[in-house]
Amino acid sequence: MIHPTGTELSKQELATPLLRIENLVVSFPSSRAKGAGERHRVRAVNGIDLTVYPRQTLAVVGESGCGKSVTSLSILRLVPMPPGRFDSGVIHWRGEDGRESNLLSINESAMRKVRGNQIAMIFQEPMTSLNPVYTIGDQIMEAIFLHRQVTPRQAREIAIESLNEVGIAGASGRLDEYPHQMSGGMRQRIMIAMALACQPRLLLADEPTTALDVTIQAQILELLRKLQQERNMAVLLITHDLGVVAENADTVAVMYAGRVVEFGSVHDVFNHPLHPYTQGLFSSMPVIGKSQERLVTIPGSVPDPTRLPDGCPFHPRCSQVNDDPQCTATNPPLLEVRPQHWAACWHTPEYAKGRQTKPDLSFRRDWESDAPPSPAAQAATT
Amino acid sequence: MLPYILRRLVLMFPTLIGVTAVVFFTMALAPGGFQGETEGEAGARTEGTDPRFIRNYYNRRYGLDQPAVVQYLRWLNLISPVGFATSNDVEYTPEQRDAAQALIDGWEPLRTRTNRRRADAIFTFMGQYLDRDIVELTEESLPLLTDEDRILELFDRMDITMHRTSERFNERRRQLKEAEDHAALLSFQLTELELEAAGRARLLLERGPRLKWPSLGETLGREPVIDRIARALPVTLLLNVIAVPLTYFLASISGIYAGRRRGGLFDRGSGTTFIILWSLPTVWVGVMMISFLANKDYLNWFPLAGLSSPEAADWPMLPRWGGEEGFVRGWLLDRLWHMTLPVLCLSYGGLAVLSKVARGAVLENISADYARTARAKGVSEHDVLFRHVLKNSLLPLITVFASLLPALFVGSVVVERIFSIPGMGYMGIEAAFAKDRDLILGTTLIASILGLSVSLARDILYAIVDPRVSYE
Amino acid sequence: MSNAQSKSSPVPPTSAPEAEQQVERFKRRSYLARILLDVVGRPSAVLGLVWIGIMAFLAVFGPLLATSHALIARTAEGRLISPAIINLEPVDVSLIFGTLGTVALFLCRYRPRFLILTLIWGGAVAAAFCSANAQIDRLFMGYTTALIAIVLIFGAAALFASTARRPTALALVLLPALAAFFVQPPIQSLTNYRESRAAVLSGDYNWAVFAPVPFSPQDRFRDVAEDKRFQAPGTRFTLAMPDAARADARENPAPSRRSWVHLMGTDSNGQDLASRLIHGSRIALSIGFIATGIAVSIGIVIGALMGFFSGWVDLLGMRLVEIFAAIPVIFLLILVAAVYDRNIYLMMVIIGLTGWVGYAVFIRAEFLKLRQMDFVQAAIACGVPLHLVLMRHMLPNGVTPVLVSASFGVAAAILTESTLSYIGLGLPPGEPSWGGALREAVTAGEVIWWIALFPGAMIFLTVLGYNLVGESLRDAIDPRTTRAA
Ligand SMILES: Nc1ncnc2c1ncn2[C@@H]1O[C@H](COP(=O)(O)OP(=O)(O)OP(=O)(O)O)[C@@H](O)[C@H]1O
Ligand SMILES: [Mg+2]
Repeated sequence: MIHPTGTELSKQELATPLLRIENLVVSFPSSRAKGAGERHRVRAVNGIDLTVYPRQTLAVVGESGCGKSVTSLSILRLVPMPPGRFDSGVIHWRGEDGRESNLLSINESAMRKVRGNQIAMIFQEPMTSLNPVYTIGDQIMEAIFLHRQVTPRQAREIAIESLNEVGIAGASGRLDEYPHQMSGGMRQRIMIAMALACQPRLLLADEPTTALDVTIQAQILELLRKLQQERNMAVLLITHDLGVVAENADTVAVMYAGRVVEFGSVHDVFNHPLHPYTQGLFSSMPVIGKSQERLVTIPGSVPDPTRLPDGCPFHPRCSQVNDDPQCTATNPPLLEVRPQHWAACWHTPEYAKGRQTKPDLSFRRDWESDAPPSPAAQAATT
Repeated sequence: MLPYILRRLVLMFPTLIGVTAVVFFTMALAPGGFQGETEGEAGARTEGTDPRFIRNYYNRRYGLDQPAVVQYLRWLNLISPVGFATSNDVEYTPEQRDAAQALIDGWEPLRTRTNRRRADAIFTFMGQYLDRDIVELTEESLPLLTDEDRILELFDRMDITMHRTSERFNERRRQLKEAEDHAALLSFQLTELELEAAGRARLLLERGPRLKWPSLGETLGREPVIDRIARALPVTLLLNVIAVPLTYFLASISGIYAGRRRGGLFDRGSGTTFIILWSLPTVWVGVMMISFLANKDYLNWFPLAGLSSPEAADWPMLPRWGGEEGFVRGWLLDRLWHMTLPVLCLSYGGLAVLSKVARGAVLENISADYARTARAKGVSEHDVLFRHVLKNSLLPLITVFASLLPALFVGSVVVERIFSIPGMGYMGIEAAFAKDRDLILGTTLIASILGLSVSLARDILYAIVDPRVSYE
Repeated sequence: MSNAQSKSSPVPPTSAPEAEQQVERFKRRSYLARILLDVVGRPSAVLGLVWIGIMAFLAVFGPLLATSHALIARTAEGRLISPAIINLEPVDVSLIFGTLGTVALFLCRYRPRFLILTLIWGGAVAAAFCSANAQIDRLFMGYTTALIAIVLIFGAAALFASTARRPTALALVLLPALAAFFVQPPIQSLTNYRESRAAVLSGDYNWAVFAPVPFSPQDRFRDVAEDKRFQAPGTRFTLAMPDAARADARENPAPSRRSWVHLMGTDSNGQDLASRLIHGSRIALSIGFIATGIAVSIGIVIGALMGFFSGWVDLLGMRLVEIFAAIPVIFLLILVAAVYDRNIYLMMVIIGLTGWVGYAVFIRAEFLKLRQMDFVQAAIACGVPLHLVLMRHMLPNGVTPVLVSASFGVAAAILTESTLSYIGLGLPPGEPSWGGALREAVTAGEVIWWIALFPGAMIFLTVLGYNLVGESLRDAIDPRTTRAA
């Protein structure tokens, strides 16, 4: 290995957050909302708080369009700047020297040193995320040259190695091929290799396995976990696949309409889902061994972000609301309803007694003994 | 790649035939076709000649009175490297030559008034008109030609096949005949025949197709078309070779800056400027330039016409200071100075179109996913733009080149006309006015070959820039 | 199928019921109508449309705006006559009254009483002229008859329009106009101007009202007139001139621009430039429209066939396209202009015949895409006849991008015409074409600045107008830059 392996982190370091997002609001202008007169902006991300610790995997789940990708893009400040805009919020990033800085306010050149080097990102769209006119090798090595003092030969070796790591056969030959000569799954793996080449401390993985078949998917996730342990890399894993979450995540954030509506350890969230939306998610997942007439679906559809309903944005689809005035009038804040378990729903038991704390959880699973949780959806629906 | 190029090259032939056919028949099927009052070309306007004679002369000489299809097929045969020989380009064997020489030696009027070439020509014409092989003819007519009266009879027979209509010439011939000045009569008729023979040349079909030199024919001024084009083409190419890269360079730059800040000051400013530039008629711009920038009454900054000053031929290549004449502009600088206005006139329209395309491409690519990936790797915005976005944005610029070509051609025609530059466009207009069939067809052919080559070059270039395209 | 869905506008948030209604109405409009609405909302397009509108107005009403004849005059006998209208050509008559009729027709669709007004107005005009000028000449009687006939046709058309479908009514309106348009106009005799002018000079009229530009486009020898009013200021003609000198001046007229009598000066024939430009607008616009119309029609037919049938039809078509793309069009135009008799119709046809390639390629690409679409497959599967599949299902969905290039095409055709006229291969020399006017700008090394400036500016502004509209159309069609919708 040319790059150094991660050293063992001290307890103190493990207990210090790597990334803290506070009250992040990202908005886009909306051309559709014109009829109402004034120019509206749509809040794709509407005041979220998240925390990631070293060597932790935070899974972000939620329906399409709820703002998952925008959240991860915001961390790298890659939200297209017009039209997008940061309305408020802080993203604290702990650098290698242990000092915290706000990623939203550091200058562009400092940000470039973070991008690809300390925080890397795997994008959702593998087909279009590679430059069609450069070879795979060029594109992987570009990142290596930017962040490492290496000779071209070394860069090539690193590139080959990272391609090998993601399981691409004949890596050295593949380096000189173009993206269009690859299948979608291979491109996704190349994206992953590119992201991992510089040994980032945080990996933003936006649906990294959606384009892959199941065996490769498992391999990739296995790989990510291995690297995570080796390098103490934190992972922000965005996915629709609750199975993937159960297998890989330490903590889970459930997003709905630009907000975090539930946050907790993977066990808490899976075993005791608090928010009706989370419960709905789990009940719409087939469970092996349990015969169901039909899969349960959440009624209604994702709300149009330009026309969010008043009150709790989930209330038109919620099974627990029976014209509860509180639900239709006021949006519930995210409260620590049970110890280390946050939820935003008026109907959560003991919601009224919940504490107003930032969602912050340094929980990590013990991979040797810990079995993946299985959703206790059936318990929650009763 | 190579098979693809070869296939494209082969496919060019039907297209070229189609193009020339469209042009030819458009003209040939017009009332009057290629015939009619021809004027202006060298030699045609000699003092006192009958216009009808001139018309006949051209019709005969170029076979303009033949059916259109025949004319076109003959032209195709002319330009083809494999084709039928005509009775015009007969190669004489030494024996034939000797026979002809003997003939001439033995006959007084011919000896005094002809040289060898003339003698060859005589037999050629005879062969054509009598539709006989030259060898037979020589043998057959040798005894015949010993007698002056018989030879005149022979010419009379030729005359019948030519449907002579020029009364004036008949008149003159009759006079000479009456005066019994056989030598003058013979000479007169030979001249006439020589003039009229070319278009009658018989295709030697019976000898079968063979390899030969392709030719583009002759202009009405009796100059080989190829020479004429060889003079005009470099001029037009020179203008375009300067204008096109200049246009592309400026367009990419402005496209990038406009696309980078969408809706910004530069974007809006350049957008407005370019739509105005695009709408400016070249004729108007040219006229305004020549009126105000190149006229002695206004700003006399640029020369009015041509590509170099008359005295430029004596100048050194590069500018020179000092010496007894002081500052000498030099040939190169003079050429550039002459070309400034034409090149400007030629390029501004394309600039507008191209930079619009470039802007669109940059806009599309700058927000593309792969650009985002590059940014996520920590690539600076500058490098994203010039390394990742630029190369992808070149693709539409390459595509659009072929559609720019007609505009360039129009530009050349107008610009060369306004600035009196003797290029292809200028020549084309002249050829059209003169109804010079061979020159028109030659110009069309060369222009279309250029156009098709450019579109082939574009496709090859595209495959080079874009690895996704391959022509296997 | 998804195409149609993605293009339909989502409902903007609003609580007011009438806003909802508006949205509903908006949604119900066709895609094309929405695009056009979008275009009309763009300032640059409005600018372009306004200029084109002005040009169209000049094109139609030019003969009444720039003419040497008095618009209205009162004769010594006390009769009111209108030499300008008497001397209108059939084309002018049909265009002017055709336009008025069309406008009236559109008003009629909303207010039927306009119909009655139109009829009364038309009748009154005809009657007035008849009674006033009955004895002037037979020629005039011919025009009066034509005029009455046209007014009557419009009346009938308008009546029909109130009940029938609009396309039918429009066709009814346009047919007589077109019919008259394609009748070759008689060459206007120069003496006409002089007669008219002589009438003024000799005091035959008590008073006379002249057009804003009181010169006809081909009115050359006006300066011989004895009245200062008709002379170009600083004119070299005087009555006292000896005949020889006058003849010389007439042989070698010099362009002049000395005062506001000739707003834009005169050309070297002593013809009023402003008048020529006004009359030239008709040539420019009609060439632009008709040539593009021809090109678009051919392009659509060939492109649709190629796209729909593909296979060998496509192969053949592509060869044809290639040939026409490889021909240097301007050269072909020059050749045709050099060989054939020059006239405006031939020009239109030739520009149209050589310009269809782009449209064909466009339509072909669209049809290749559309053919795969479910709704077309469904229509074919349902046994819808071929021509209906093509015309009703595919064409409306594929034709919008052609609209964009057509509007650029009109601009290009105008440019082509002016280029040819500039080269001297355009319209016959007498015709008031813009490009032809520009030709005289530099003669014998001498610059005549007003001839260099004004005709070119007219071409430029008109082309710019079309390009602005085309640009806005393109933006409106492009989903990335669509406003409103
Ligand atoms: N560039 C942009 N311009 C305008 N709106 C945007 C832009 N990017 C995202 N949005 C809006 O922000 C919202 C959240 O988008 P985001 O991509 O984060 O969804 P997501 O949760 O990642 O969905 P998916 O699971 O489908 O990837 C959406 O409503 C989207 O319309
Ligand atoms: Mg996403």
